[in-house]
Amino acid sequence: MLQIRFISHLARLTFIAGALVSGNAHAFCGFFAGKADTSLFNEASQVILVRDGNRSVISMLNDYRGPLHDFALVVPVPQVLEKGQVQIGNKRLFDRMDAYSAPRLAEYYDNDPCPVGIQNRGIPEMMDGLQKNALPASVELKKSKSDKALGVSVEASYTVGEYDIVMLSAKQSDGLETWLRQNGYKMPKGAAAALRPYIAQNMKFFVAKVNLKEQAATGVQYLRPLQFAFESEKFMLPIRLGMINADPKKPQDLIAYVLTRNGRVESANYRTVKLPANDNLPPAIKKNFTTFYKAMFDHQAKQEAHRVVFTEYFWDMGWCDPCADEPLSREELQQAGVFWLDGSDNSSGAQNALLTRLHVRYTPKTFPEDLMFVQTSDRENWQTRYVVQNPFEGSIQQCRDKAANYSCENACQSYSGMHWQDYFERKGYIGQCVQSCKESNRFAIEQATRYYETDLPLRQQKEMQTLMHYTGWNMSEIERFIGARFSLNREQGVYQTHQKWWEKLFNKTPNRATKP
Amino acid sequence: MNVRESIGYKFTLRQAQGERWLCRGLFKPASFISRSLPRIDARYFQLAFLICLLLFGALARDFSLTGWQVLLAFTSAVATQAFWQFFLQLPNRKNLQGYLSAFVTTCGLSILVRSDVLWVHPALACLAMSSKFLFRFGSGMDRGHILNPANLAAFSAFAWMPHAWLSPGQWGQETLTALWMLALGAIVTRQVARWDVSLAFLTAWLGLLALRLVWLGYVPHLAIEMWLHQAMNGAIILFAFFMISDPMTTPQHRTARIAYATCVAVTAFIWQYGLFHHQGPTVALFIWSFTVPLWNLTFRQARFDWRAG
Repeated sequence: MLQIRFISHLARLTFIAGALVSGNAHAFCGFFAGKADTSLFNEASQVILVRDGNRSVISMLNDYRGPLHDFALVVPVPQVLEKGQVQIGNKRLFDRMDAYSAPRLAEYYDNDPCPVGIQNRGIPEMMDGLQKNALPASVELKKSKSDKALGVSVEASYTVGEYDIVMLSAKQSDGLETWLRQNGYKMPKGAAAALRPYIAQNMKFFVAKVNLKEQAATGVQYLRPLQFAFESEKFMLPIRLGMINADPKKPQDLIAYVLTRNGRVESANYRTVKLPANDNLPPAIKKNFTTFYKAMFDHQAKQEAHRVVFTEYFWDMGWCDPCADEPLSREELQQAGVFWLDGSDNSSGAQNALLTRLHVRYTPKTFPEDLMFVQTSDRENWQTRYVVQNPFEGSIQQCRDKAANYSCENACQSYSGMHWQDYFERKGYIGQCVQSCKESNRFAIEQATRYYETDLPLRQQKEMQTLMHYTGWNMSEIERFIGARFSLNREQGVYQTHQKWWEKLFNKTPNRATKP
Repeated sequence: MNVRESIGYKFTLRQAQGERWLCRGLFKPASFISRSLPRIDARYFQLAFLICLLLFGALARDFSLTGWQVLLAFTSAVATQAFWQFFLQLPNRKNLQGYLSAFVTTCGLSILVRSDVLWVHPALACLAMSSKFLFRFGSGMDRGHILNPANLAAFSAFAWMPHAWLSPGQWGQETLTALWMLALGAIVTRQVARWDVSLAFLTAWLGLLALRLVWLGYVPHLAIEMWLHQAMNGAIILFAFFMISDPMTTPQHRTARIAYATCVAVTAFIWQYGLFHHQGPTVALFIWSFTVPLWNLTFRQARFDWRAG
């Protein structure tokens, strides 16, 4: 017997966590440091939806792991799909789409807060030093008769790749259920009731099962994605069919990559919200960014009671900043189904395609209707990007030492030496230069003191509060996540870490990889 | 202008009377409020509630709205209103009441329209306010504008304005939010005696939705969940109580109003569930607005006056 699987069950995917590939970081003033791809969400269905006017191209990938002869798929579609409208998609496109739009972490480094000597604008070699110091350190991480009696008619039947496909139209849901059973499909309880509204809407049923001979011929071990193109006024995904046997309270994840021509896509019948992003977070999250992102998404989804659609990414396909992966090429976009890219342009350069990545965590209770979409006129790029700003490694004392060891006299001598033609004014100039240099060093110590005693602690406190707000973690959960204990310094309002000496020495803690 | 003072005085007097009724055990809060409130221009209530909804939406519902967009829309609406009032030498041109409609339109516009540029909100505010003076029908005391400014702005954003869009799901489907909107809306529509149009629209709209679910054959418990999900949509409640209830742009006669609201609901339903387009109520109201003069000619009734209530 074939085990029927409906749309939202078909595309549960587990990716092998991608390597942190560096991408285009040219237009980015920080550096790409990490991403949280769909490998995090093992129960996540993935769909690529291309839409313009009333034309749609949908690609669905499944992570079915059981025996292939048990696999079957039923999807309600608005019209009978002919053989030419269905083809085998490319799994790699899902990986590319995921990698390109994954939530990302950007990393920055603080400049040296102790600019000893460099405030002295009269000294050219120190200006060179300032320019060198101003450059951040770079880290680049990215289906007869009996049929008529049942009211079911096979509108089309063909084989595409490893799939045997039948297009069914039905008059009665009971008849459809019986037909499917008679033809070897094992139907879940409640299937007829769930199919009825789709039949009432005159929708057809796309039924696919694996042709084992063809599958063996492909030589691949997994089921390749199915892609179909059709015209319909309905811009939607029939997510309800996948909920027949689902636990009413158990959430499922759906990640939809929607490609459009004019603007961002949002849900028409559920609230669409942007995930909290683009704030500074404690640098410690870099070590376990994916754990952080999963915890944050869990918390935000619970806070919204699993009633909203989250936007994770919206960007013009032509570029990215920072890039978690290279933008999809013209050829890749056409493979994904972007049909409006006909023309003479080459694959390089900006592509007239906008990608909206929507992440839905839903339960049968909170998403009673199928997911409807609407394309807006919004073209403002947005992404889930998190920032870590590494403090400068130093101390006030180090700054004092640096200032004390800096010889203003020597610096001024060498400067004046370059300007031999001012020989006669040299003596007076050296005095001014030394005085200016010493004032500059005093200013550097004041600046370092402000940085280490006020600015940095305040920033760290804010970063910690942001992390708490994002994830809903309390202090002890944060300590477990980061692997260090904190205490609040009442005088300075600073969270201070207390690491054991050996933790400092080996730069690791026992609980670092443990999820809070 | 002593409107506020006189309002304050009347409240005080009524409150004193209310206390006496309370002592006699005859106090009825509902009747007390309803007797006191009609003296106030209902737009003050409308404005106050719309500001609350705008703040709630912007702060708690992730509206992609900027302060600059609201400020520019406000400036543009007031400037356009002033221009037309001074140009036509209207009696309220120097009174606050002459500008209430601009304030209300700014709030309505800000709540409904989204844009990724700054010029859209002021441009729509200008268009909406100008429509009040340009699209007029009737003669004498019955002469008035045809289009509801906020509806025109919303329709424009949906149909043709570049860089503008409407977010049909922006309010979510939470019961508490919907009930709050229902309560605030009921007060405003009670004030202008237009609760009938809101009720007629909601009854027709929700009735059609329920009939659709029954016709599609959903299992009862799911049909109820879906219907509640559709009924609790904040955008529909907002439309019913703050847009279609506008006393100036709906038929003056009650029978006509109820029939009108039903027509809007049926058209919206066909647009949305027959043709699979979005923003059914906004589009339907825009289309049916042009028939209001005909309804008023057929069913004659004195034109509404904001201050008379």
